[in-house]
Parts: sequence; C-alpha cells; structure tokens
Amino acid sequence: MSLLEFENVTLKFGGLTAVNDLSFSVEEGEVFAIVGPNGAGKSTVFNLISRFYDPFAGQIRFDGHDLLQVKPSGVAAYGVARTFQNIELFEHATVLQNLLVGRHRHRRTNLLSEVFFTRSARRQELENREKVEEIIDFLDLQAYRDKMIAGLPYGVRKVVEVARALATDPKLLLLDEPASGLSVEETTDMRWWIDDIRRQMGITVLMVEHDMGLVSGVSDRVLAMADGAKLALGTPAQVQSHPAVVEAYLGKAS
Amino acid sequence: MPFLVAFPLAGILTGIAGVTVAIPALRLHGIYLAIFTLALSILMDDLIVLAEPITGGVAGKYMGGVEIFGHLVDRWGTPEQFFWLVLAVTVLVTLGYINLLRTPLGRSFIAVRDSEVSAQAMGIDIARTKTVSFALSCAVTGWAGALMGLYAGAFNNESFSVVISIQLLMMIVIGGLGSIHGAFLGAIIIGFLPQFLSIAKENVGALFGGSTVAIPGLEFGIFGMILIGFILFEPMGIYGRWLKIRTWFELFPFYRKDMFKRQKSYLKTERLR
Ligand SMILES: Nc1ncnc2c1ncn2[C@@H]1O[C@H](COP(=O)(O)OP(=O)(O)OP(=O)(O)O)[C@@H](O)[C@H]1O
Ligand SMILES: [Mg+2]
Repeated sequence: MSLLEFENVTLKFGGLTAVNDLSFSVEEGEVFAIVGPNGAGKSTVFNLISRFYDPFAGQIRFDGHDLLQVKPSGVAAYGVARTFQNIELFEHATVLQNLLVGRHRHRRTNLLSEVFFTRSARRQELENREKVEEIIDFLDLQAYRDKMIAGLPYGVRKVVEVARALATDPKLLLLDEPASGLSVEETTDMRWWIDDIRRQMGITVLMVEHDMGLVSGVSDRVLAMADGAKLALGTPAQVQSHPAVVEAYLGKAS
Repeated sequence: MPFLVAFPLAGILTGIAGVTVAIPALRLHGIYLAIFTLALSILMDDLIVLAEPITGGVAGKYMGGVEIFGHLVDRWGTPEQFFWLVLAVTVLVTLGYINLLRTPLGRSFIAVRDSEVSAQAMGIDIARTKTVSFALSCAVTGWAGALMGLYAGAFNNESFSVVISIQLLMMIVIGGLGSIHGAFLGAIIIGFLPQFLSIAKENVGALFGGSTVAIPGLEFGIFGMILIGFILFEPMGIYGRWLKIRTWFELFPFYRKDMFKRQKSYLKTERLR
C-alpha cells in the first residue's frame, strides 16, 4: 500500500481547472518531486492534502485513511507536515515558539493542567523542548533560537519552516519550493538536509521544486504537471527527457 | 452565598457566556468583530434593565463587605484587606497566564493570531481555539467585574458602561498588545493619568495665579490623543518600544529599522499559493 494516493482528483476554481483528473502515489521512504510551469497546480495539490479545498471529484488516501473524511486541523494528527510557498511562520513569536507549536499534535494536557502547570504539563514541556532542540541542532538553528521571526533573513525563515514541520514528527513531509529564493550555498545545505530527513529520520518527502539540479539530486521519482494534469511520471532523467515535458517548458518545436 | 463560592462562579458563568458569544462571533474578523462585541456590550445595558428580578434593574444592587477566612473585606471599612484581595487575584490570574503562554494552548493562541493556515496545518482547530480564548478572557473579566462590584458597593446597568470597555482597550493598546507586561504597563499609565492630569491642572492654574484649570472633556481629549499617538507611531505599545530599545542595544550597531515590520502581507486569497 502506498503512503499517499491520489486517484482521479479534480479541483476547479470557478471556470479554471487547477487539478485535472490527477492520479499518482507516493511510496513510503521515497523523495517524490512535483515539477511543472507556474500555475500548473502544484501548490494546489499540497493544499488538497492539507484539506484546505474539497476536490470536485476523486479520492485522496493517506496511510490507509480516506483523507477526505478528515478536517483541515486533523491532517497533522495522521503525520502530515508541510511548508508553504510564501512562508507562513508565526511572525511575532520566536523561532523556539514556532517550533514548539509544531509539537501541538502531541498535546496530552488540557486547559486546567496547563493553567496550573501541573507535573504532567511540565513533563510534556520538557519532552517538547528536547525534541525541538534535536531539530535545532539538526538544522543548525542554534544562533536563532530566541530571535523573533519578524527580524530574520529570508533564507533562515525557510529553514525554520522546515524545522517547524519536522517538529511535528511527521511520516510525510510536504515541501513547497524549499529552495526558491535561496543562495547557491543555502540550496546545497537544503539538498543534504532533505537527504538526511529521508535517510536518518525515515520521513517520506513530497516536494515541489523548480530547481532541476536539486530535484534530480535528491528525488527518486518525479511527477511533471501542466495545467493541472499529469504530463509524465518517472525517474528524474526519464521525466527531463520526456517529449511532453520538453514541450511544456520550451514550447512546441514545429 | 459565601464569597469563596460566589467569586469562582462569577468567572465560570461569564466564561460560559463567552462561549455562547464566541459561536456567532467566529465568522467575524478584525473591525467587524470589534463592532459586534461593542454592540453586545451596549445591548447588555438593556438586558440588565429587562432582567430586573435578577439584576435589580435600574435601581441596581448593593453589596456590603464580605468575609474571607474570618477577615472582613470592605472597601470603606478595611481598604487594606480589599487591596490584598485584589492583589491576590491579580497574581493568581497572571501566574495562570504565564503558565498558559509556556504550554500548548497559549502557543496555539499565538499561532492562530499570526497565521490561521499554518496553525491549521500544525493540527490546531481554529474554531475551538478562538472559542477557548473568548471563554478565558470572559472568565477573567468576570472576576474583575466581581471585584469592581465589591469596590463600588452599588452597581446597576450603568456601572459597566462602554466607557470602561474603551478604557480597558486603551490600556492594552498603550501598554502593548499581546503581552502580559503590556497589560500592566498600560493599566499603570491609564490608572495614574487622571491623577497626573489634576496635579498638572493645579500647577498650570497656579502659574496663572488661579486655583485650577477647568476645561470640560480635557481628560478624554488627552486620552484620545495618547491613543491616536500610539496607534500611529508605536502600534506595539510601550512594551513593544522597550523590546526595540533592548534589541537595539543587543545588536548594536547592526539594528535595522525594519526589523519589527512584517515583511510582506498577502490578501487572504493570495496567501495559500
Ligand atoms: N484559492 C484559489 N482561488 C482561485 N484560483 C486559484 C486558487 N489557488 C490557485 N488558483 C489557481 O490555480 C492554478 C494553479 O495554482 P497553483 O498555485 O497550484 O500553481 P503552482 O503550480 O503552485 O504554480 P507556482 O509554480 O507559481 O507556484 C493557478 O492558475 C492559480 O491562479
Ligand atoms: Mg506553487
């Protein structure tokens, strides 16, 4: 059974078909990339998984569960974490607080035990902090721990967003353009981190990315989309040389 | 009913009232939410008059001192006892808030405030979080109201007017939205301002050889100007200003003017893409 399955999913915004009869599946343990020109519907696929939209038709399954029965705030509980194309961090909070919010799905305490900061609340906070510190070490964020997001450079914010997603302890990590706007060095870091996330942490990664160097460097399989539909699916090399993909990117050579 | 039972109940009942109010209010944002709650507080005035059997209507209700563990707490008779009572409640509530802010629920308030989409993606139920935040702030306001009743001794439909709401709002805007420090700073300033003003008026009066300057509405005028000044020049309040000064010293000489600005803001529809 695949970890994530899309089956004939269609989503329309008014007259525009953003996702058109799309089927694909992501296997456990792989890095799966989605590529395609602007407006192809890549981010919309992510937003469908996050349940921000109800598909017009089709099925989405995750880890054996029908995701369409889950409400948006329930998706994280199944082990899906994500980043956003236009970074969506909690601006007026510190890096540490942002990562701790990532631990929310593991909350075992309730209002009263938190207000009185009971023993169980304290124990939970210690665990949360420990987990978050591991991620801070992994992504080299030590210098920014107590900094407000609002004052951080773009490249650091991108990393913090990945860190916050990792703090949820996900099975599947969705990265929406993790390298866009990053410098060459930062992109190289990101490449190794994605590798480690898969190899060391055993997390399946589904990412949208325009940088073909990064895509062919880290991904096992690539899905190419245009106008909401599947163009090609295969290894990075297969997809890059697929005639339909070449045509979508370079225009018809007639 | 003994005070030690009645007092917690004041918070619990207002908390429940908060939940009932939160349910229709969940659909509203920003200014519309503000208008809704303002309208509700005006409506409350009439509800209190209508519910005369419980509330005493326009004539209101009277309350003498209360006894707590054998101590008589009466604003007129034993003002120092009243002070200790208010202090104890303030300390307890503040400790509760501090605890909240370092545990999941408090962080989920921050998350919902800053980005609803990513709060949701982290597993936070937006509607529930907002409802709980409404209930909590209503409960604490209920306790404050109970103390105010004890302080005033007599109260009717006009005791808790819109003017108080506006004063509370000013405290938090001037002190600094979204921080415990801010609430205290704002309360100190707004609390002392009338005293400062009357001292200032006497001094200005003495300067011209008179007794005191009497200008009707002067107090409200000055309150208003301070509020506008803060909204224009320091939306993060006194506490926000303090944070900036601290950061400036910490980072000297690398402080940038735009450090506390949001980098970009998106329209709701743009945010997801
Ligand atoms: N909430 C929405 N309402 C209306 N139209 C939308 C909405 N979200 C996306 N679209 C449209 O759906 C199409 C696909 O958008 P999507 O954001 O998925 O593209 P993308 O492949 O991520 O592109 P990019 O590479 O620019 O990020 C676009 O034409 C976009 O304008
Ligand atoms: Mg996109």
